[in-house]
Amino acid sequence: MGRPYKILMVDDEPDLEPLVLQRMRRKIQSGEYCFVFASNGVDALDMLQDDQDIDIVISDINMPHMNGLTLLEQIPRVDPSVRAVILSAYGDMDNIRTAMRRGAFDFITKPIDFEDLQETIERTRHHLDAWREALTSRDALVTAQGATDAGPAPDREAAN
Amino acid sequence: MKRPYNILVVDDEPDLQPLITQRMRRRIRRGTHSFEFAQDGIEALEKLNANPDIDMVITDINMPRMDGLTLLDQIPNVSDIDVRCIVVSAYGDMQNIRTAMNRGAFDFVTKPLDFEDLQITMERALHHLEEWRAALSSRDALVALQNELEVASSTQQSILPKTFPKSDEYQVFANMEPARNVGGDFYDVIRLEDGKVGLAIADVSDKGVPAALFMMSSRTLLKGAAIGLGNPGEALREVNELLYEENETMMFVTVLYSIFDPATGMFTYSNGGHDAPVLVRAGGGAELLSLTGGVALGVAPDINFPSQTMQLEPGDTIVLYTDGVTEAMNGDGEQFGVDRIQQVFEANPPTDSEQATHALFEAVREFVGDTPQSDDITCLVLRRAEDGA
Repeated sequence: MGRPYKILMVDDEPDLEPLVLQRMRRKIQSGEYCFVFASNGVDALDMLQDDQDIDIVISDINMPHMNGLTLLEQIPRVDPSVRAVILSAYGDMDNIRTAMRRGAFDFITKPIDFEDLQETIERTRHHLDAWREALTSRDALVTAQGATDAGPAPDREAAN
Repeated sequence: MKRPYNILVVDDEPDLQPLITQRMRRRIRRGTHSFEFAQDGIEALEKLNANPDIDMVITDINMPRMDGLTLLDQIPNVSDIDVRCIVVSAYGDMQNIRTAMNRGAFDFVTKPLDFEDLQITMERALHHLEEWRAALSSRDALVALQNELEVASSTQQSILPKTFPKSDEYQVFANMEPARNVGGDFYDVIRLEDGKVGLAIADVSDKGVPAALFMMSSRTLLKGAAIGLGNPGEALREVNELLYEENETMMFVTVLYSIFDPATGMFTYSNGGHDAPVLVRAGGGAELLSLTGGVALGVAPDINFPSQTMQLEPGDTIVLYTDGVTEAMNGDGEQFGVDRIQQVFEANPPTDSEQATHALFEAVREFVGDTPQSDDITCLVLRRAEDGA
């Protein structure tokens, strides 16, 4: 198995962290998931910048300093390979639609249905894996094409 | 021109079709989008099966016969399609929306339809599809290229001799391990008149397909010259002229070509910029054969390649190799070097050409460990039998 999937949860409510750690403890213990936490968009962007291993960002919408919708717009500039899921109030259609249009991969409503959350994480992970595999193929193609092209003009002195 | 995006709209309400056709009329007229319609999930699946070019499905949830959520479940079972699905739900119907998303919908829109939102959502989904297809086409191209390189590699390997002369008088054995799928090293064993044998080892300046093509023509030219001319130096001179004449790629090849006469033990060789062979004496001790200059072939015209002759005593062994052996690198960036070739054979004086070849490859493998091979590795061993003729 590879490294655990790293999920950054962004919310200004302090009770989210213990709740997530408690409900996701099996996935954490088995080394499948690993969670890190930020309390607003600014902190989240800093963490994304410093930690290239973060795979998914799950963000609340209403937060001080930088809200979740602004964070969504900023994420691709920091790390385009990260996928974002938005946490919204139940039935808050306007914000959900805005988030989706800004490129959220999916959304989850509060109070968090952990079964739904886990399913969403798995789908995001599946999507990311397929995407990364395709990108790896693209890099391998460039390398393989390099092998078929004539290299730079050889240094003839070297042969003498 | 690119074909239009084919979008399948699935809804049992009859007024949706004229509405979409009306609101999307510009896209339809420009030929960028085309729409098909189905009344329910079953009809949608029929259309998907019939038309693998459908790019997107926009589906309602509540429909007779088969609803939208069931349709979402069934779409992955339709072969040869790659679609993005958008679900149309009642406003605020969170449960159905969540179910649809978890069944693989790309996004959703709500009723009554906000066409601006629908258009943004459609374009986002199609953009996503384009990116995905571009990445997939790279993957397909990679597989195709790898297949071609494999064919090239086996073709190249197949022209190298695999059976070697083995008599009471002498034995020859050789092996080449390419660094990439196709390589630029080669060896050859050419039977000549009067029981003599021509032995060649060569290294083309580059790697990959261009080097492999240059290697193929170098080898063909050398074989022709070897059979036509009785002297290694003359053969190299001829090959050099022919390579130089039509060398637009600016590649070159280093060659050491020799003729062994089993009747007398005379070993005559000429060098075109290649590494000096190692001579392992029957009584033990290994040394490098002296070389008289000689530049690589294909670089400049009118070059003389002098031939040298030495007497091979019974039990003596000559090891020809390419710089893939001497420059094989271990994890510390250290090179195998010519000294280690000598050490391999001083420690275990060869009694058999095949065994000696394997011993050298084994020593190189052990030396480099897990470090990836960066150059073709080639070695050819000639051994004069103890008894002589």
